[in-house]
Amino acid sequence: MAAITTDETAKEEDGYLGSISGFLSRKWGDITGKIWDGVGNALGPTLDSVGNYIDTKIKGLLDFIFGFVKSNFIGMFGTGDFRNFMDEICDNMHAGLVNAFVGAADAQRIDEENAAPKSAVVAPAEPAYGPR
Amino acid sequence: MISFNFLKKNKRPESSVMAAMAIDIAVNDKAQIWVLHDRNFHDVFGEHIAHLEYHPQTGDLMFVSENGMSRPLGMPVPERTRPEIEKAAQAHFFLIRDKKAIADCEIKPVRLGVNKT
Repeated sequence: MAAITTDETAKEEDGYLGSISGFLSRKWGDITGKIWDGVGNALGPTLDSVGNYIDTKIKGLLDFIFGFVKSNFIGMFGTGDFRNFMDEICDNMHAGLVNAFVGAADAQRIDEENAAPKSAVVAPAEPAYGPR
Repeated sequence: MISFNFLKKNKRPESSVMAAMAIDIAVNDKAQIWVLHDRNFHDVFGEHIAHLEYHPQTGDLMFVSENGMSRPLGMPVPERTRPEIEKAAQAHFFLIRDKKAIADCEIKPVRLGVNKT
């Protein structure tokens, strides 16, 4: 494998930052507008409420962004409608991937199997959801 | 042969959150919870969510409203994510527009529930 030169490293980092930037504007365009709408709405009551509103929203977003970068997902469950969304986030953020998804049908199956006599139990194989 | 009980159990409760909207919950190794959903809770249930309530004994995850109404997710929390959910102090709720972009976010507390026997 060829060694990565400084130029190539820089290009790679540019590409990474570019993808992050593009990703953020795609994913967070709406919420940024919402935050400023919220500031406008909160200006009526008190200055404290403005601060609280911004703090909560910004903290939520920062936790979300940096949480993804630093963490490893151990699982995801639900209706399964946001699996592609999460996939794209993980791809763009170079974050830990969600390595398993369990939907309602899977959970039901696991419950049924757990309830069965021990001799009949077959270890449920959780559907892979992660590195592709 | 599929038993009647299986069909009955497999059906999501009509009052469940999963029956009312697209919703996924992601859990990471830092006990952080992300709730991704496609509809505003107030629009669907007529009230805002106050907190999540996790019942370790049963694996049930309940969405508790500001008026104290408790709605189940609609499926038990999978085993592998239970320890992290039990440790979680808060959950990030993200309203996702068209399954593509984040339209709003909120942080809600996560509490441990006690099962009534």
